[in-house]
Amino acid sequence: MGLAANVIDMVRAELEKRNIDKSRLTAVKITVGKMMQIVPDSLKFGLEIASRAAGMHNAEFVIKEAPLKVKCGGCGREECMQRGAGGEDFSMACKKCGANNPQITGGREFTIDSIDVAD
Amino acid sequence: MAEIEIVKDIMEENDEIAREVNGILNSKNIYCINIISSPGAGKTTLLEKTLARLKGRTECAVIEGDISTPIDRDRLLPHCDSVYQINTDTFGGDCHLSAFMIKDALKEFDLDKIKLLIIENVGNLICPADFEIGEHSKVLLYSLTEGEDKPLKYPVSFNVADAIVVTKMDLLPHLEVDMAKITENIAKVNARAKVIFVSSKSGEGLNEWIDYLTTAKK
Repeated sequence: MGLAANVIDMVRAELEKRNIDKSRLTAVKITVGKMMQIVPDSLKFGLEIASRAAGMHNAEFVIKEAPLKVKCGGCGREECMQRGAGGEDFSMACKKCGANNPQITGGREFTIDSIDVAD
Repeated sequence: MAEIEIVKDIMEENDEIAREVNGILNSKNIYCINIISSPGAGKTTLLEKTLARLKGRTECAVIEGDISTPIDRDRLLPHCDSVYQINTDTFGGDCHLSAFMIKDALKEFDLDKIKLLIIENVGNLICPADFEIGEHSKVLLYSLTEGEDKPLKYPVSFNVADAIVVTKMDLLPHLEVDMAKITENIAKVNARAKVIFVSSKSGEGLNEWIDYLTTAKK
């Protein structure tokens, strides 16, 4: 809920900066990485409550998930893990060379990408 | 209708304050660790033993994070003069500490007299991993009673840790815990972390833990 309030504050600042009335806001597009421990549905629920309280009555929230991406520190192989980390069979070790010193190259995103405003 | 591109990092406000906190600590030559664990893993008990051992050796300060009560501050005060309690219920009951809370808490200490700042985060294996608070390293505590599967169930918290301290080792004879499995599961999500096995009760592993703390700060 705190993060949702943050997002709404940031959106409000962007609208004010551009002199756009908040009633014209129709959509906010957000990316959440798999390594951020944010449940998209819970975030959306919080955003809907916070946006209505802030007078953004027409806004819907579109949340895109970004996959966990790792680059092997041994052979440089890059892997995209759609399910994120976790699960019985999960291992950060490289499936090709077996080295276990990966660098996380994606999955920690948490950004407001764009907003849609009605004419 | 128009689509306006923004691309703003939602964590940026927190991260910026975290960098500021880190800068203040560096300017005072203070090493800072952020301790993360589930509730009841033994963070405060380990700190009681740690502070007692470091007394007269390393000037320490502690920031305690809890949703409510000064219980942990009161437990640590006999071992350390500089203990400050943050109760997140004054900020809406957050389940983690944020950088701005640490920045405010630093004002409570004489930073010229501190060499090691230990922050005990709110007991929670999820959110604290997402919030930088200006620390130099993250230490994750994981007690034997939590079961072998926790590194796999909470991979992000385990992955971001620089050191993983397995606590309550004195309970090993009483539990059906597969130690090899614990080591294997930690390595699956984080092979670079230093892993230390301790018992705050018996003293097992405490020398290694203190060595880690005192050498990491160099």
